[in-house]
Amino acid sequence: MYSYGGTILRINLTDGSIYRHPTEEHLAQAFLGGRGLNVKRLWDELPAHTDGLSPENILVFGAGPLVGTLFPGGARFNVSAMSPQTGILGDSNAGGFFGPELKFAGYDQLIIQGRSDHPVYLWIKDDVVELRGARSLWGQDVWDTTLAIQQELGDPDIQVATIGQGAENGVRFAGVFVNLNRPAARTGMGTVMASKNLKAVAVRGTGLIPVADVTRFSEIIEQLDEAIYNHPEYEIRCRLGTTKLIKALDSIGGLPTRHFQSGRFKEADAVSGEAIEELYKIKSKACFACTIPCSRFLVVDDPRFPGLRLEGPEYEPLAGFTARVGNGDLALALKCIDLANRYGVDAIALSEVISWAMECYERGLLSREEADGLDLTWGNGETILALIHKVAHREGFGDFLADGVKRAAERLGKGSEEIAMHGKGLEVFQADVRSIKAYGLGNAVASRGADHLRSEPWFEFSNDPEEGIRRYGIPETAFRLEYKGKGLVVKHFEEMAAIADATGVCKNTYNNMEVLDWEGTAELLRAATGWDITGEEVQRIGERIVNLERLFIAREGITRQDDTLPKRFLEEPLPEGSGPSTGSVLELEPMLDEYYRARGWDVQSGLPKKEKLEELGLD
Amino acid sequence: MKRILVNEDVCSGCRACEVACVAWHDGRFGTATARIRVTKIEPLGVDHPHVCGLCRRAPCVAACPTEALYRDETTGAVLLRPDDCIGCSACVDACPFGMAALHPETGLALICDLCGGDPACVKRCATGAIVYDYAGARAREKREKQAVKLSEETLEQQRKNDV
Repeated sequence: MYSYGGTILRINLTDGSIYRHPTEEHLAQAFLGGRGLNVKRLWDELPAHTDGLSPENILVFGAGPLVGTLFPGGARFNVSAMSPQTGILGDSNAGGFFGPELKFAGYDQLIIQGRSDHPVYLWIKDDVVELRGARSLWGQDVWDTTLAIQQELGDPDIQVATIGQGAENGVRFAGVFVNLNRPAARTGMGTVMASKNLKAVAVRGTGLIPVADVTRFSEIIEQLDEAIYNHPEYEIRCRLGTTKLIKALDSIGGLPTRHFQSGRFKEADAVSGEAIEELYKIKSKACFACTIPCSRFLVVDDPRFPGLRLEGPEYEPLAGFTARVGNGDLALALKCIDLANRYGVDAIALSEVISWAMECYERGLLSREEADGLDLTWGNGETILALIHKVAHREGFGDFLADGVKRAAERLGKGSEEIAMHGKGLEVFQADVRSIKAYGLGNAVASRGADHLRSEPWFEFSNDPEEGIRRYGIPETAFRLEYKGKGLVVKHFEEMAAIADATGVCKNTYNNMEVLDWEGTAELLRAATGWDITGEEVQRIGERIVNLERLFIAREGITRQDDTLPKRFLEEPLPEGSGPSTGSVLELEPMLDEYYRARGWDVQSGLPKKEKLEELGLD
Repeated sequence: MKRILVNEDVCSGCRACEVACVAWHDGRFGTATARIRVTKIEPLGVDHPHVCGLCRRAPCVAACPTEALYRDETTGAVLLRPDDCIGCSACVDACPFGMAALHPETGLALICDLCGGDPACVKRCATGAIVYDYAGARAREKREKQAVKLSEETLEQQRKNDV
């Protein structure tokens, strides 16, 4: 199979058995790989209502057909399972170098079943697969574990996907981390891994991946490189990566300031990507074979945090530990991000539980005594650091927060549920969706709970009504504060995001910079796989993945009622001082109607209709 | 004679050079047969591309017992006569830079051939960490940088004196 590793590897941790079978070409043609093939596996092999932390749950790593090629940013893998955080689809994605190494070892997917009776790690060297004892690694953080495994196996080029102490201690929003600083941290996939007593997956691959037509494939890659180099965002992405968004969102009133109480943050400049560049950046860093080095290596020279060095951060953790918690101290925020990475927990969820607690305190719903005597005033650095340690170790008040904001608010009660910023149990990202309506809809309908990376519908920033008419027949689609037509925009971008995740490429290029349309993707996949595939069929694969994910969460009881967001976004206008977004609310209901219609789903229930499923071969 | 010059300060560590090398020579994608290698020390943020030294008195050529290795007088690269290579790894042991290897599939010597004078790795480098240029081209760049820095320091001193 051209452009695939060719093999699926199954490991049963209960009895230590290892089994291989060829990657099924008919499934690859229907779902490509990565996220697409992962959800297919979960749908086929997980019984409904499987407990996320039970040995019956399966943990699936998948890397798609463009991973490990010269595709710029063809670096990504997905890790999927039933989520112990949300009780629905768990799925998270990361770049770095792990996905390509897995492909070079010959694998498109790892399926991990059962539970080991003692801590182990999985070591894959091409065809040789071995479970090794991990007692000495248990209790170590992401950095130490990664380096210890590379040292034990004697090869610094080994790629390691590991969990930190957060997952071991049962924090429900713990992730799987690669390359020290790169998280696949949404929906608690690290927590699942820990429940299986699996500390890490180490992989080294020395194989070469053939494509069907290497000349044509390379030509298309060269054109893509050119398109990226000439893109108007190229330079700023190389300098700042996604941290460019701090200032951009501040200017439109879209920051999550003090737990979404304002769209602007007075200290935005001081904690911006530009400030990081000026103060701490040593150089730009990139994922495997990427032409946009959007990551950065930082050396933070601050006497309070000796030896602080890290790669990144992305906008999400940066906004989380600055605007969201009301903190204007940049070095402190970077320390928080470093701790989240080392403990191996989701920085989005972590910043939400902390900022939620701060708002509860501000409103008198939570006392200082209940919070272990901590002063929960906005931006209190000592409190924020203390809470990170406490959550990761599930100590005291940290134990209360470590199950995520939905469960914490249910336990606290007193109306604190209304300000728990989540959708389907997953904490909302770092932007106020009252200022960006397609993102709001995308978060409400996302298959893994509130999240932007299921759609990333950048088009509403374009301010190009002509293009809005050309694409969707509706000029308003080009404006972020309008809601009309956003159902069509989200449908389109959800399918693009699904293709990005299923092929294993980065949404910065594929969704936000739109370097390939459906036909361009088909052309590349034809050269890669040798399949006779059209642009329309590529779009269909994206649609199939979105629909199957919908079926998966519908089986767990999700309907239209659950496709919603916190009341704050739907009913409270963005307060004064939120710049050009002041006064805005999210008009979710009409957007939902439009979205379900565009999807061919039932408008009342939000579930796919029989005809749609037949059309996609999912009946 | 041009060579591949390295500026590790701007290397992003993406390893595209390795993949481009493999794609050019093997027509497939991977890193195992790359003739350029990036050392990454992640906790320190270090990324360093290693390239063939194009040694004038090449130890690999001298060590080869079957004269399978020879110098291309146009590009200066060390080339291989595959039919004469016995895969003994004498060149691997002789290379002072650790930049000779044996191809994992063919078992024959694996040494940078500069792609015949238009290196694929350099073409794919996004950051300018590797460039194909004459020895000394970076030395000039370094001298200029140094000169600019010195003149800036002088100006700064003058400004201070003026105040």
